[in-house]
Amino acid sequence: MRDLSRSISAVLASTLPNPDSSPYQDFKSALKCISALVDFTLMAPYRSHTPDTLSYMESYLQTFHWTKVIFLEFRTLKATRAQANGQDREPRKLMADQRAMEVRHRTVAHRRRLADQDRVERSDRRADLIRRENHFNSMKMHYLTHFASHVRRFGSISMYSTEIGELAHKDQIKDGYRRSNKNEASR
Amino acid sequence: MQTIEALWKVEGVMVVEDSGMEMPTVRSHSTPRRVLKGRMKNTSTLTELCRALDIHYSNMMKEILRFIRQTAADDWRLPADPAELGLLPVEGFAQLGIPVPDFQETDRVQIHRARCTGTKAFRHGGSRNNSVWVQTGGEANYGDLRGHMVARLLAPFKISNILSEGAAVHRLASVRILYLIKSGTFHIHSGHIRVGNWINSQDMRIVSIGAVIGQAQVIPTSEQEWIVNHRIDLRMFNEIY
Repeated sequence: MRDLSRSISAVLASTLPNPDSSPYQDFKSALKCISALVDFTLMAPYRSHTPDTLSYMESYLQTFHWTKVIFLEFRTLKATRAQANGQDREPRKLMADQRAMEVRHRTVAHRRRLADQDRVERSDRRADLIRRENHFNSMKMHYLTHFASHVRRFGSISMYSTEIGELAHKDQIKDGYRRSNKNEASR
Repeated sequence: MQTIEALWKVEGVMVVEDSGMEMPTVRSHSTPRRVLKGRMKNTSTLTELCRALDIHYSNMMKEILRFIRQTAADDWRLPADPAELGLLPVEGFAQLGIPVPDFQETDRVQIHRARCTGTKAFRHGGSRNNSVWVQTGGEANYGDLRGHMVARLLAPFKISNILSEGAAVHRLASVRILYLIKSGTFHIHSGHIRVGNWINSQDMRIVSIGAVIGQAQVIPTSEQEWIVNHRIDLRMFNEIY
């Protein structure tokens, strides 16, 4: 994850170099959002912080929160997706019945226009629902807001990292077990 | 990782064993020693080195003379006479190991291995000339890069000044400096600097290998343009941001 974060913003910037006018704002927001989050995560493991670095981090976080909306449509939960699909299915059935009734009195072009209109309405309704239901309210997102205050109170957080403990399970603990007589090793 | 103590040796001028002369070595804690590896064949003079790198001899000589003029005048300085320079023994290398201290660490370094094959193919592919950071100016230079430049490493080489008393060996590198797009200012949205190839051939420089401060990551956006990823390395991220 750490390696990914170090190269993702540059890779994104190279893949989205000169977008057309229509998705320009979206690309701009996406790049800003990713870069802000990457900068925040790069500064977080500093071994010592100054008021300047903390203010930088707070500004990165602010930028991230302002621009994260661009990724909201990809945060759809399963329940929301199911709800959107269910919402889609009912009107589609009704409309199909209605269309079958009217089919004799309409021309082909008219029928096609109506179908297009239906499709647009359905996708709008789906987008509205997703926008209403999607959010970034998770614990991980919430913790980021406390970073600066925690550094001010407790010092750099890298010393509270659990990585070292986790790493011990890779070799250190296994070495000890391998050298033992393997009887009641957990005691 | 290596302990930094093993690498604390003086950069630039060193003692040549064959000469029987000993020059006092000065301990410096700011410039750990770079390591040259992969000696190129048939590069015993500047002419041969130029032939191996496909560089015009006059360009190379001009750049070396420029480098000599910029260095302080002392007993070990290379001769400024092109005829004498052409006679000096040279060794070309294909790899430069640059010890880069870890960010906010005092006793750990990472070795960046910058490879360069000149015009030769690397593992049955195209030629390989890694990008490196070169320190060429003060903090006020080159926009947001603050005195750093991105360059392609063409060949690190040693040149022995056998005409001097101590037969001092100078460790230099031939680099191709990349052009800074928009004067080296950050791209407004992504916060990256873009570089490109110079159109003319005035981009070759000779620098001391002490000025090569690490390997750079560049990502191509087109055939002649690259994005410099300064976020790959915490140290560089902190220095140029």
